[in-house]
Amino acid sequence: MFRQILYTQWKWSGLGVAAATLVAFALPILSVQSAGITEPTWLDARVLLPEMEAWSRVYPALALAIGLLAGTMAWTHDHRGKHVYALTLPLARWHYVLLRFGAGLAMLVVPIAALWLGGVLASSMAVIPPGLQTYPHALALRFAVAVVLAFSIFFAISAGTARTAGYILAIVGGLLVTQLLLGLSGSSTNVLGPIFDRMVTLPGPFEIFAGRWMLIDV
Amino acid sequence: MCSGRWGWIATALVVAALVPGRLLRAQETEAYRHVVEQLAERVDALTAAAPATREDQGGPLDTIRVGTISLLVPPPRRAFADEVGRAAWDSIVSYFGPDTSVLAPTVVALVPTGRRGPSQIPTLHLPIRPEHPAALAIGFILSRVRDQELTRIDPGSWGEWFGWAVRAMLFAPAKLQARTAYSDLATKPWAIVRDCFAGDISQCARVASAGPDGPVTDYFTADERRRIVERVRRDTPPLRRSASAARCVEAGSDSACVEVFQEFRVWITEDPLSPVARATLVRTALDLGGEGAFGRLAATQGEDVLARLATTAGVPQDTLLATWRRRIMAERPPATTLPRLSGWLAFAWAVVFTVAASRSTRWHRG
Amino acid sequence: MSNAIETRGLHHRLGKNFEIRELSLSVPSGSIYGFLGPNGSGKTTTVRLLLGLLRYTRGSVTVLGRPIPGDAPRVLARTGYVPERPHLYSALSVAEAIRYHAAFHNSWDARRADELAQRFHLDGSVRISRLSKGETGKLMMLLAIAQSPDLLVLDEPTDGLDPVVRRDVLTALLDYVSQRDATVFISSHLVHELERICDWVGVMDNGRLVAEMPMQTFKNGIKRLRVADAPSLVSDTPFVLLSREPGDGLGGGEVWVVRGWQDPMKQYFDGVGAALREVVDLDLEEGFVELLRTFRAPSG
Repeated sequence: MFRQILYTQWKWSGLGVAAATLVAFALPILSVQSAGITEPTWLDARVLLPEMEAWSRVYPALALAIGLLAGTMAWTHDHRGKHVYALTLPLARWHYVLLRFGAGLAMLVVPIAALWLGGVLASSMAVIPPGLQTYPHALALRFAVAVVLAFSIFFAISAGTARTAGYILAIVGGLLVTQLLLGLSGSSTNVLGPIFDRMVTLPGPFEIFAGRWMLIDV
Repeated sequence: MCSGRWGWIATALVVAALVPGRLLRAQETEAYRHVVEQLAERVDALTAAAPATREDQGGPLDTIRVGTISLLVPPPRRAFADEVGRAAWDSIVSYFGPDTSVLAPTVVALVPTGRRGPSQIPTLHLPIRPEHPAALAIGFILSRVRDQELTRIDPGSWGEWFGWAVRAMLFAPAKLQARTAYSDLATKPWAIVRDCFAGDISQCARVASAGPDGPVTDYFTADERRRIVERVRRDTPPLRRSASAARCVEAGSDSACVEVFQEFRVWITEDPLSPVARATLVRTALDLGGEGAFGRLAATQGEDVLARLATTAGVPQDTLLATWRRRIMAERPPATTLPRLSGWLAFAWAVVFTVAASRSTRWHRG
Repeated sequence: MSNAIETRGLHHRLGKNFEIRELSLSVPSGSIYGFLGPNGSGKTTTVRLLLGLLRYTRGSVTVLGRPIPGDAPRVLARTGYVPERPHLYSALSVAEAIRYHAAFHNSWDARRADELAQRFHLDGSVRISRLSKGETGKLMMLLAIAQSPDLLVLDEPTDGLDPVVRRDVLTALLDYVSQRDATVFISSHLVHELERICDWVGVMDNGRLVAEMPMQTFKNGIKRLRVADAPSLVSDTPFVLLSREPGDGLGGGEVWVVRGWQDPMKQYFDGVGAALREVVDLDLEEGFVELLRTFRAPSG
């Protein structure tokens, strides 16, 4: 059962996962090359940290994007058939959901491994000045956890009914409209800021995305 | 079902737009700007309705005094000037300490654009529109006070040591400064800095005293001197033509490297200790010195920077340096390695969302 | 005789204006049960309730002796389902779809699947999205039959298919039923088709079960009578009078449509002073139409 579900999921989203894998592999290498530290010019190391910080913003965005892709593609074809096929299979529904989730997770191993490989390769290419270290494993681990979390979020949203998605959209849209109206009325009240801060700091769900995503750091 | 799909696509796009936007926020400049803007908002709220009148364009100026600051403004701007002055004075007290008797009087004029300010008085021209740029006025006042006070310090080596960069950074938020100083210390390739970073206070003493024009033999090793010359020579035509530079780089002659440093000092801007790290040292001395610290700083004499700062702080040099180093180390950026709590929390959230997926009304047997 | 499907007092509301009310049907095990009804009568909704795709608000559903939705996985393991609209993953090829479906069914009969694939001329390499309507219908029937079910639930399985495909599909179905003692629940508005294969019939209209009986009884029991000198008031008839209308043409008299007719009932007309001129057999479609007309007419 799992093998077949994995096969179908690979068939549906394989192209996207392949593209994400390429990007994940290339990112660390590009960051090192753009910082120009493949040559032993350690005197320029002090520009390295801002350079790495600039690239560090791409990793969480990539994790979100991969999670979104995998999470939504897991359900696209069931959505098309209004889930009739899945609902008439002879297994408990929670079982089916977990099989889909597991298949998605299995596919995520590929881009995560690609990022780890890219990080290791980039670290070996870079001439690291004293005081700095490379963190390919830490970066890959953070990336892995973030991808899995993003996948689970979008998987859950996508598995829900149109009504559920509507509720989520209504809440988000309501907050945006409220903030907009407050801004137009000249009020300095910040509605979105505190909510966002709660979500990106412990114990919010997006805290992992707000961490330090540095391949090379102090 | 179509709306459901579009629902979560829209949700995803909103999240994707919000998250990087906040994460991309440059903390350092935002933190500094936030402090000043908070002060400015107080002022703008009071003066938003101030009309532009004929008196703004000519006539006598009123004087608003707050602490040692005197603000010359047209009468309709009295309230604005009062609030700006108070906001600026709060900042000044926070930097210079409660003993502000050491500060010299500062006079500035705040006049509308198009009107000439009083002669011999530093003047800031403000737009006539109701949205008064209070942040601009406060910043102007602070910069005048800072430059005025800092120039009272014996210029000698202090003048060089402070430099314009240290002056500019002195009023930046402390944590921000310390964090930048940490990165600077951690990434400096010079042996003297690395030893200080590693905890050798004696090396910290040496590097803290090093000004931009300090003796090159004291702060750089022979190898470091050669590398510096090699790097600067690549981008600097005069050095490429220099025989000393060629001998330094190609023959490895240290005496030639020293010659290059002395001859082309204006091109070689490498500092053992960056301005931000020096600014944190001054700030540490002022903090440790407490009341009257700045007065002592202004009153100290002599060429020994560290001794003057220690006098300012009222503690031995080693204590000052150890405290300075400790404060910098405390601002080490968050670890790149994933904290356990973060990892487990993210895992827990993933479980929550997965359970939510299996409990969707579509899947849940009623 | 046990029932493969049994519902008691089933209620379900669909939107604002339609509801299934007090639905109590029984599908005898081993029968081919035709579930008739016009478009919009609630046939597909009923099928979805039987399989647990929809949740009912009141009543009970038992399929193959197990409650729905509580034991749905076990029921679905023994039930082959062909929905009204294709539900397969269009990105898969025929062969991939067969492999996918087989993975979920322990009772999968690979030999039968291959036979049906050949019989239906299905090319395993063709994507489902590229199949014609008829080929898709055949594939869905293949998947339902090859899992060796005890119960087949077919919702308009031949709707929109050409006669050749319809014949192929129904032949395969009957072949399977003849080899196994399976129950078939087939929902359709194509009355002619059901007439040929079903041995039980249930008629649905506007969310309610109008009639449920053996097919033979349904077909034989509904007659059109030409009656002369019929009394104005009719009571105590041995049959069920569904409708009476003035006759047309030279014969005059009245035309009565009755249910439950048997030959000895002719004597009734002698007793009321009327003359029975003619007894006409109605086919299933005519009987179905008359039944619905009666059901929808205002009472009294």
